[in-house]
Amino acid sequence: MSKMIVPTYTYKLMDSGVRRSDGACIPEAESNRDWKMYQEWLAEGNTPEPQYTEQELIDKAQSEEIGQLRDELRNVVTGQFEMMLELFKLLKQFTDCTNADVDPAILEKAQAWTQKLARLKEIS
Amino acid sequence: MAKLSLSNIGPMDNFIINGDMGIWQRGTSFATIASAAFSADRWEYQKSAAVVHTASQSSDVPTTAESNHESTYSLLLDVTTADAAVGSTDYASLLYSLEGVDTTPLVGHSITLSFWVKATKTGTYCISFNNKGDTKSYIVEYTVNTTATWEKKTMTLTLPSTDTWTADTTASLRIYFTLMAGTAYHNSADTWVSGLDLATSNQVNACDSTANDFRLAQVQLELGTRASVFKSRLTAQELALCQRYYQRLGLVANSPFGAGSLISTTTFIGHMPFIVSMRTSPTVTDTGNFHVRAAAGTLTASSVSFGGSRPEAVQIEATVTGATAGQGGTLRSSDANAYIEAAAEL
Repeated sequence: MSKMIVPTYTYKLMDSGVRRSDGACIPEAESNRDWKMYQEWLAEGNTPEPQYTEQELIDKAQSEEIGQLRDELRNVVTGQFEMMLELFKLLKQFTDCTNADVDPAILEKAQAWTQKLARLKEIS
Repeated sequence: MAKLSLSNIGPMDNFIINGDMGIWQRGTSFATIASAAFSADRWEYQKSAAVVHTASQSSDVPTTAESNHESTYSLLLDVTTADAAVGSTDYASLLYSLEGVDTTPLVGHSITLSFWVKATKTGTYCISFNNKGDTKSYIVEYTVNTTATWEKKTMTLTLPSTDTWTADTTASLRIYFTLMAGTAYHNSADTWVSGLDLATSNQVNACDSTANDFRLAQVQLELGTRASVFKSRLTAQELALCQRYYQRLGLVANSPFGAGSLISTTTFIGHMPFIVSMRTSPTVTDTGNFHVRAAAGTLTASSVSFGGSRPEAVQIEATVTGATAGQGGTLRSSDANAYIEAAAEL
């Protein structure tokens, strides 16, 4: 029987199996018909694309780095809020004052820090 | 998860899955259907010719009075680009493939194929029974007597036990419903012949006019020499049998596919079990927009891929931004157009 008219695909290597140009992820399984078609494609002398292009590797590394930096920044900001609130408490202790004695602007800032700290902990 | 195939769900009257054309997981209309593509579940279109068909679900079915069975749908092949000049290697057909495990009970026995057909083009058509190794064919002719009229056809043959039929989960018996075949695929009727042939020289060209329609319904393959009235299975049972070969999940906004965890700030890894065990490790494809729902919120997935495919489950990997490593999450569809399909067709 002559070859069927089927769409022409290209393939890209994955950790396991290959990804076809239509987006299908094909496992390395002898009884999978798409894997068989891939084997036939290879036998015709074709070569799959690498898993990642050079640019994709750079983008991936940058993306990971940005994520790590964001985590570190979040930790720094959280630490600063905690430190400021601690200082505020200590200041009240040493001066033996209550909230009523504190400048309302400072009190407002302290409340904002408390809320921001709670929110940061919630989403971290 | 239990493995599901015809051979382990009890005594069967019909060895054809979805012979009643009731299951259409991929959609209901396929314009310019490609060769090797499926329309109704389990029914594959094959061609090597200039003809172009639209395959679709048709509500034109044999009446209950005619067939003693109430069908809802038939499978329609409508010629949209005609091919009047049949080249020697041209062909067009509908193909049904049985697994080895489901062919084994038929080997060495008489089998009877029955179906209802409604075709514009009258004359001689052929059915070809083949083994997967393409080393043997058995061609049977039937006649469409009246244009655009439902007619029941039956044929009986014996699957020789001397031939090698696979007995595993790979393809074994294949049945071609031929619409057109060039001389390269012609051979004699009613005898096992060598090679893969599809028709006799009497086969009409049912693809020679855009006026041509070909409808197929109530396809039944039974042990023995008698064609009984078509018997359908429960819809849930038929669907589960189809899902051994193809599953489509999603098509609802926020449909969950699999739970997992964010292993870095950009990568989600999850586990997606299949509805029933599939025939083999399937090919898995995502279509549409997806997101990961995690404690940090809704993280848009810029890409989704699948690895470690097994008949029971597959690993999902999604690329996201703004994730917090270590959090749990679930991959979900972002709208009603997104879906994931797994295919383990023969």
